[in-house]
Amino acid sequence: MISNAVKEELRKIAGKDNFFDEIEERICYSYDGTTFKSKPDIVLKPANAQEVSHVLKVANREKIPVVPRGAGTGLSGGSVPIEGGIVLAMNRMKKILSIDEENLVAFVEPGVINEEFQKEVERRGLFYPPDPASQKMCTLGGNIAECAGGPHCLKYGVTRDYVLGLEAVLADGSIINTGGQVMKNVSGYDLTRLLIGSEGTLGVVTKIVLKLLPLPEDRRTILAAFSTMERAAETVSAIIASRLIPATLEFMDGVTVKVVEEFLKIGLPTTADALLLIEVDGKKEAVEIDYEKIMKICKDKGAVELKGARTSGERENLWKARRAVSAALGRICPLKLNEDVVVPRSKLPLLITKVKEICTEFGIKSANYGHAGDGNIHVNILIESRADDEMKKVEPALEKLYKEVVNLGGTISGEHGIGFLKSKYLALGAGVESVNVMRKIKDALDPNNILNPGKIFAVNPSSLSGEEKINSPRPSLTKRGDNSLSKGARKRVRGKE
Amino acid sequence: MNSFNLKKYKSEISKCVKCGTCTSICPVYRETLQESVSARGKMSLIEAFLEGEIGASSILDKRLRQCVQCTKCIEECPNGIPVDIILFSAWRALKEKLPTPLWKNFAFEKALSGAGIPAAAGFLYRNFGGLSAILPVEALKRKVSRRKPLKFKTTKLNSGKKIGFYPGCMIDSMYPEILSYVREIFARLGYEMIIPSRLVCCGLPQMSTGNVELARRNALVNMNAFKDAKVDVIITACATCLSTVRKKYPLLLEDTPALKVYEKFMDLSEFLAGEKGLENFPEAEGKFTYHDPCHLARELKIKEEPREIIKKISAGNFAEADSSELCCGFGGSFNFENYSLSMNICSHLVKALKDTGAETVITSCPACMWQIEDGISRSNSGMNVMHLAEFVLRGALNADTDKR
Ligand SMILES: Cc1cc2nc3c(=O)[nH]c(=O)nc-3n(C[C@H](O)[C@H](O)[C@H](O)COP(=O)(O)OP(=O)(O)OC[C@H]3O[C@@H](n4cnc5c(N)ncnc54)[C@H](O)[C@@H]3O)c2cc1C
Ligand code: SF4
Ligand code: SF4
Repeated sequence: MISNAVKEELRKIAGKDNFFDEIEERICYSYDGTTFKSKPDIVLKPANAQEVSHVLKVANREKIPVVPRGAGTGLSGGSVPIEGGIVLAMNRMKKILSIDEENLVAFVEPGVINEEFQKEVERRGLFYPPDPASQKMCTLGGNIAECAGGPHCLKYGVTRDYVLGLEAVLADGSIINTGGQVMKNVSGYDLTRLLIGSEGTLGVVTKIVLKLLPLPEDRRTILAAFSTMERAAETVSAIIASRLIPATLEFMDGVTVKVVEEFLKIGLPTTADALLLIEVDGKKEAVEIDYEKIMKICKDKGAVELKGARTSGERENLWKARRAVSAALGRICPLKLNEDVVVPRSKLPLLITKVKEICTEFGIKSANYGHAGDGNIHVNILIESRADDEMKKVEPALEKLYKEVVNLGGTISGEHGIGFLKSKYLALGAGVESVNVMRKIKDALDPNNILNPGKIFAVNPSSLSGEEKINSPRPSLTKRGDNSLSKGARKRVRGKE
Repeated sequence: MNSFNLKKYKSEISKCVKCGTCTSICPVYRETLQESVSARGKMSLIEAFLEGEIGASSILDKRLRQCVQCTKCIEECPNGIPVDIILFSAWRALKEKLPTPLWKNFAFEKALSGAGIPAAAGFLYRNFGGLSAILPVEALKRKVSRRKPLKFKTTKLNSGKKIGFYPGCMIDSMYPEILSYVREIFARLGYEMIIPSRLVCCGLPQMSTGNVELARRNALVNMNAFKDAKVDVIITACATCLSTVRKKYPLLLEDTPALKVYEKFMDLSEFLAGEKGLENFPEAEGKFTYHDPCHLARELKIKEEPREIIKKISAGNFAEADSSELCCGFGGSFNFENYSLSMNICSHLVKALKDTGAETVITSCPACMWQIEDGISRSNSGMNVMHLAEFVLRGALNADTDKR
C-alpha cells in the first residue's frame, strides 16, 4: 500500500492531470500484448526526465516498484506491473526533437511511435530500418528496452545497431547520458548497449539518439507459396547460399496464412502450406538483378504460386498481412504464447521439424511464422483455455522447445525479451555464469530492486546469493507466479479465466 | 432486444488479444493518450464491469462515452471485435444504473424523437443565437453559417419517376438548404422527390444515450412511413443516418422482417454516380477537396462515388487531402460533452484539408460539415465547406446567376 502522503507527493510531481489511482484507470494499465494482467497502484505520465527523476527518488526512498511502459505491446509481460507499484506511462514524451540530415542522426523522446518516426525520416529521404510488426503502435523506448527486431533486421540489424546514445534515469533518480552522437565511441564501458534490452530493469530511458541511413532507391517484393514447409525452408537456404541478402525474408505457415486472409481478404493463397515474403532493396539495377535471381530460385525449388507486388498498394497489402499475423491469431485462439526462439539460420528446417514433433508429443497446436532469413521463428503455442490441465501440457512442451533450440546453437528469445514469462528459463538461454554477472549489475544499479521487479530475473536478486539464485524456483506458468512472487503479486498476475 | 444485450458479447470481448492495434488509429486515444479510451481499454473496462470487479461508476461511464463512433477500431482490429455494438450495449446497461442527465435526455431522446421538433429546435438555434442559454453546453455557442434555401429557374423534366428521401435531423434542423438542393438535383434528372410525413430521427442519438428501445421505436416509425410511400429507392444525404439505417436497423428490427425497407436506402453519391444525366450539369469553378465521413467511408466503404462525381463536375480540379485517415471529431453527443477534445481532433483534419490548397471542402455528411465549419473558423483558414449536393449544383447556380 502506498500512503496518502506519498501519493500526494507523486501527484504534485506529475500534476493532477497526469496522476491516476482510480481502479478504472489502473485496470487499463494492468496488461500488455501477452494479455496477462496485474494492476498497478498508481499510473503516472511524466513529461520529462526531471519528473522521472523525482518520481524515482521518491520510489527508491519508499521502495515502491516502478514499471516503465511504452505502448504496452510487449510479448513477454515486460510492462505488466506484477508487483504493483507505479506504472510510468512514457507515451506523453513523444517529441521528435531533431533530425540532423548532415550527420544522419536523430534525437527523439521515448514515447515516439516507431512508424511515425519512420514516416518522418522517410519524408527526408532517410531510413530507420528496425520495423517490428507492431510498428504502428509500439514506442521507440519500448523498442530500446526490448531490443526489438523486425523483417528488415536480416539485412540491416536490430534496434541495438541504430542506437548511438541514451539519456536514462537510474533507480536512485540520477540522470545519465550514455554514448553520444558519434559513430565511434570507446570511452569506457558501453553503457548504451547495457541499457538496450534491459527491459526497464536498469533505468528509464528518457532520450534516444538514433543512427539513420539513406533511403534505398528501389524496393521489390515477392510472394512465393510452397506446398510444404520443408520446400520453403530449402528455398531460404538456397537464397542465402547464393550470397544474396534480401532486405526481408519472412515466412508464414498455412494456419497463419488462413487467419490473416480471413481478416484482410486480399487473395493470399490459403491452400499453401508455407509462404515466403521476400523483399529486395538498393540501387535500381541491383534490385532488378536480385529480384530475377530470387524469382528463379523460388521457381526451381517448386513454388506453387509466385508473384511480385506491382504497385505500392499491393506491397503495402502484403506487409499489412504479415504484420497482422500475431494479433489475428486471436481469431482461432484467444490465448497464445508467442515465442521468439532463434537458431542459426541453416538449422531452420531442423527447428521446424522439432516443433512439429513437440506438438504431436504433447498434443498441442501451434502456428508458426517469422523471420526465416535470420533463423528467428515465432512459434505460437495456441492455448484453448486457461484451465490448469491445458496449461500443464504447455509448460513441459515449452521447456523441451527451449532445450532443443539451445542444442541447435540458438537462444530462447530473439526479439521479445524475457519479461516474466520466460524468466524461469533465463539461465538456459544465457548460461549460468552470465546470469550471475547480470544479477551483480542489477544489484549494483538498483539495490532496492524497484525498477521493474520480477522481470528478467524471477526473484529479488538482492535476497539470494550465487548458485542459489539460478536454481531457485521461478514463477510457473501454470500457477502464474506461485513460487517466487510475493503474495500480492500472486494475486495480481492472473489472466482471464 | 437481444442484439444489444451486453452479456451476450462476453466471448467477443475475450477475443481482444491486447495487441494495441486500435491505439494506433483511435482519434480520441491519439489526442488523450489515455489507455482507457482506446478500444483495448474500453474492452478491458467492460470485461471488469461484467465480472463485477467495477460497478457502474462515473469514470466508467465517461471513458466508455469518449468515443466519436468513427468505427476505425472495428476496421483495424485483427480479431474483428464489433466494438460499436458492444459499446451501444454497454451504454444501455449503464443507463439502467446511472440516470441520463436531464439536458441530454431532452436533447437526444425526447426532442429528436418527435416529428417536426428538430426543425423547430433548429429554427430557434439558427435564429435566436443558440440554445446555449437553455442547455449547459459549450458546443452550442458556435455559429453555423446560414444559407437561405435557394430558388432555381430550371425547366424541370418530369418523367413521373418517384424517389424517396430521408432528410434526418441535421438536415432538417441545421441545414434545410441541403433539402432544396437535393430536390433540385432530382428535378433536373427527372425525378419527383417523396418525403413521407411522420419521419423521426434515425435513432443513433438515442442509441448513444443507451436508449435502444427508443431507437427501435424510431426505426419502426421510419420504416413504416417509407413502406407506405411505396418507392423503390430511398436516398439520404447524411452519412450517419445511412450507416445507422443500413448497419443498425437490421439489429434493431431483427424480429420484423416485413420492415426490411432499409435495404432500399442509398447515399446520394451512390445514386448520382450511376446517373448519366449528371453529364449535363455545368462545371463548378474553383479548387476542391473532399472529406470522407467515417460513417460513409469506413463503415459503408463508400469512397469512390463522391470522388467520381467531384472529378466530373470540377473539371478535375480536385486535390486529395492527406487526411483519408482523419476523423472530424464530432461524434454526436461526444462533441457536446468533450467540446475542446473534439475540436482538437478536428484541428488535425483542418490542417490537412488546408494543406491541399483547395478553397472548398466537400463532404457528404451534415454533422461533419457542422464540425469542420467550426474547426475552420477557429483556425481562420478561410476555406468553405459544402455538402456534395450543393457542389453538384454549383456550376448550375453560377450559370443561373449569369443569366439574370
Ligand atoms: C502484434 C504485435 C506484433 C509484434 N511484433 C514484434 C516484432 O516483429 N518484433 C519485435 O521485436 N517485437 C514485436 N512485438 C513486441 C513489442 O511490440 C515490442 O517488444 C516493442 O518493442 C514493445 O514496445 P512498447 O512501446 O509497446 O513497450 P511496452 O510493451 O510498454 O514495454 C516493453 C518493455 O519496455 C520497457 N520500457 C518501455 N518504455 C521504456 C522506457 N522509456 N525506458 C525504459 N524501459 C521502457 C517496459 O518496462 C517493458 O519491460 C509485437 C507485439 C505485438 C502486439
Ligand atoms: S485491435 Fe482489437 S484485439 Fe487488438 S487490442 Fe484493439 S480491440 Fe483488442
Ligand atoms: S469508434 Fe473510433 S473513437 Fe470510438 S473507440 Fe473506436 S477508434 Fe476510438
